[in-house]
Amino acid sequence: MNMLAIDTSTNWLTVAVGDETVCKRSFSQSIGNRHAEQLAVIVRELMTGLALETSALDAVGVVVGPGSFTGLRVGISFAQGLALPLGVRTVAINALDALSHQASGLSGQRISPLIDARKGQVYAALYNVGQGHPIPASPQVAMAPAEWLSGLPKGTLVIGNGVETYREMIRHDCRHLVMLEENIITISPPNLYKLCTVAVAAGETLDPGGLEACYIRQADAVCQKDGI
Amino acid sequence: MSLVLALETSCDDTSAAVVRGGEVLASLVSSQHELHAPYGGIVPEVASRRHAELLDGMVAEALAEAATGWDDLDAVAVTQGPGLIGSLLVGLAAAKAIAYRRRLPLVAVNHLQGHVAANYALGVQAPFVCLVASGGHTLLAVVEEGVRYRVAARTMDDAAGEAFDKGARLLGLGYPGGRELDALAARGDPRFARFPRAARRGRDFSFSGLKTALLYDLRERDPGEIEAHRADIAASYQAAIVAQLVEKTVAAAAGEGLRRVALAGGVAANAGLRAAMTERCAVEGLELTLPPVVLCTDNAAMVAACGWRVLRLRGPSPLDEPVSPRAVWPRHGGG
Repeated sequence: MNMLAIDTSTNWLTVAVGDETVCKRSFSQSIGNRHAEQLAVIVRELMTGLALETSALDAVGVVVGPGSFTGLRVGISFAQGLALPLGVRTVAINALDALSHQASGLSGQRISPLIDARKGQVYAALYNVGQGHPIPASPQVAMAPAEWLSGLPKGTLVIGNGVETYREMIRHDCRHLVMLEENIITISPPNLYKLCTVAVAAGETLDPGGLEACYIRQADAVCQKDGI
Repeated sequence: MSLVLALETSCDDTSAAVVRGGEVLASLVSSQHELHAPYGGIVPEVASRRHAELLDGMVAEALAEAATGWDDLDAVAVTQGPGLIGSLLVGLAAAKAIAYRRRLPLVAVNHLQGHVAANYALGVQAPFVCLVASGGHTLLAVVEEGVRYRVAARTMDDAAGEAFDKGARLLGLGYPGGRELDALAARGDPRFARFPRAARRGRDFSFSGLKTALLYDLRERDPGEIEAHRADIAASYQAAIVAQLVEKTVAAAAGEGLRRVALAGGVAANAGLRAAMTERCAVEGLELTLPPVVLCTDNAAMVAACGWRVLRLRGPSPLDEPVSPRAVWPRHGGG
């Protein structure tokens, strides 16, 4: 089995290609908002490097959010565009789940990934770690970081690019929380790829049309109209 | 014959089409008007979300309707701009993936040139003068051959469609304003109120003064009079926009020594414009091509028609082609 996994949910572009067990080639760089320009080129480079034809792909995984609205759509549209003519299955990866998996082998019993949602908010959730696996302990939310962080249990490990944005605030106002010396900013290619392989093995795959962005937050105009 | 799959997601219509040569095998358009109506205008984020929800299904449906398989395709065309950046990105990302997967040439198409190319689906022969009028653009293109165009005139301020929409708002009409205004104007007397027919001399268009004239006209009338004569005011206002579009188009044809005229863009769906242009071209002895309304508003069939010609002229677009949300059409510069 060959698979391609894509993450365009932040200002990083991550692409991973591999077989049924392991990621063989990957790309992961901060590229700003140039995902739509770079994605196809990077995919082609990685596939060519492995001498893989697109027809050899058995599944396409993509991070469906939460994250940059535009980035999510670029990734999902690209994944659908690849999967539709291939007639292959797709895998939807949640960004907060993926970040929590990446930290679940580290210290702490509780993890809260924070993704910078702009507009003074973070996308966040709380996970309890049990037997090395993160188990969701809260809904996924978009809210002001101070509000979210103040409600977290003592000793919760916070990770994600939201930690970079609000590091000073966390350091001064949230002493009950733990930050890593080397923060986990983005979903790593091996982690992304592994989550996709696990999902495929578990039969958690979708038709291309089943891929849906996990926005969490409504469009601003909708919020204003509905008084949210 | 070439078989082109095209995607168009530049604004608030999601569209996929399959075109063989000049024959439209499938052209699907999903309008978002109802989605945006509560906001009184297009909400870009709402538009982008809907494109992402619909596009893959519409591509599959277009291929099925055209009784075409992936193996039959010769190219993938997609709108590059101008348009809403988030909306454009949905189409471009999907088109790149399809082109890469199927090893097909990708063709990024200028949306305005796509509107002009809709006329090729009707068999119009170059050279001709084409009035391109939409909510965001108004220009006169001299189509020399294929997708080699020259812009003979453009608006100096508002687009014609913008003038319709703003006028509709001033008249208290619903969304989409241009269509509402057209329907109301059909029941009114265009001689009821006087609005400037051509705000400026010269070949270029100008509509901002017209909109201001409507604002002042409405201020001078009491609410009862506006209520009683809303259709008459709408008809008078529309007649002024239409007169400018018709006069400048006919003048451009004369200036260029061309006998063929065509319309393109969403405003070309306006019944008042179609009637006036038909009448005037008949008087002037000009051969007029009026695309059916479905080919005037945004659609992917026009992108396919344009894309194949662009591909032959310039070759395929690279896989790192960016969107071009503010793309313009240079006054001097071929396709």
